[in-house]
Amino acid sequence: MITVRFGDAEAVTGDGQKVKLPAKVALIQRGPVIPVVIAPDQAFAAALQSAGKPIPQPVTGLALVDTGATTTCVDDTIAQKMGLAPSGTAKLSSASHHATQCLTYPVQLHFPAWNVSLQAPRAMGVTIASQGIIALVGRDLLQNCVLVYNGADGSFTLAL
Amino acid sequence: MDDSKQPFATEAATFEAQLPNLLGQHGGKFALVRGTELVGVFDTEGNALAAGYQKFGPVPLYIRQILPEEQKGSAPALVLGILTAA
Repeated sequence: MITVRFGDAEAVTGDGQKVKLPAKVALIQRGPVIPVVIAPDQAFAAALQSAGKPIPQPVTGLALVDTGATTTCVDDTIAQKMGLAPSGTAKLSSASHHATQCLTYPVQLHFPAWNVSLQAPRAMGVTIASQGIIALVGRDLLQNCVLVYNGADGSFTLAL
Repeated sequence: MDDSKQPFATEAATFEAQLPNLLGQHGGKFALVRGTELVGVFDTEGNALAAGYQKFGPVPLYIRQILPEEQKGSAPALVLGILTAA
C-alpha cells in the first residue's frame, strides 16, 4: 500500500516567486499520479533475448490513476521509441468524440514505490507525454487494487 | 502485420470472417491472428502473446477478444485533453 500526499508541492507565480500549495490544491492540479517505469512485457523481452536482439531500455515518468479510463494507456511515441511490437488495435471512444483506432502494446508497468510490476498485454498507445504523464492506470489494472481518494487531506492511497 | 495504412487490416478481416464460428465455442477468449491465419484461441491475452512470440518471434501480433462486437475503450479526460500532472 502506498499513500501519496502532496504536502511539499510548489507553484511559481506570475512574477517568478515560488509558493507552497496546499496539499488538497496540489492533488486537484496534479491528480493522483505515481512514479512508473514502462518496460517491455516479459514475454516480449524473452522473445527478443531468444532472437539475440537488444531489450529496450525502460522509460521512467508519472502515471495518472484514471478511474475514468477503461484500459491502461501508455504514450504512443514512447512505445514506438522503445521498439515495442504492437499487440493489436483498440477503439477509443468518448461521449463527445467519434471512436478512434489506436495500437495496443504489451508492456510491463513497474511501480517503484511498491516494487511491484503489473503486466498490461494490450495497453493503448495514446498521446499523453505532452501533459506530463507517460501512462494512465485504467480500470483493467485497478480491478486488482483498492483506491482511496482523500480530497480533504490532499492524498490518495493505492493498495494492491 | 499488414502494410496498408490501416494497421492489421488483413488480420482484422481474417478475424471478422472467422468470428461467427469462433463465437459458438470460444466466446470471451482471445484469438491470435497473423496475416490470414487464425493461429489459435487462448484463455488470456498473456497466453496468446506468449504463444505468438514462441512461434513468430518478437514481431507485431494481432490479438482480439472473441465478442459479438469489438469492445471500445474510453478515457474521457484523455480524449477531452484535460489530463495534467504539471
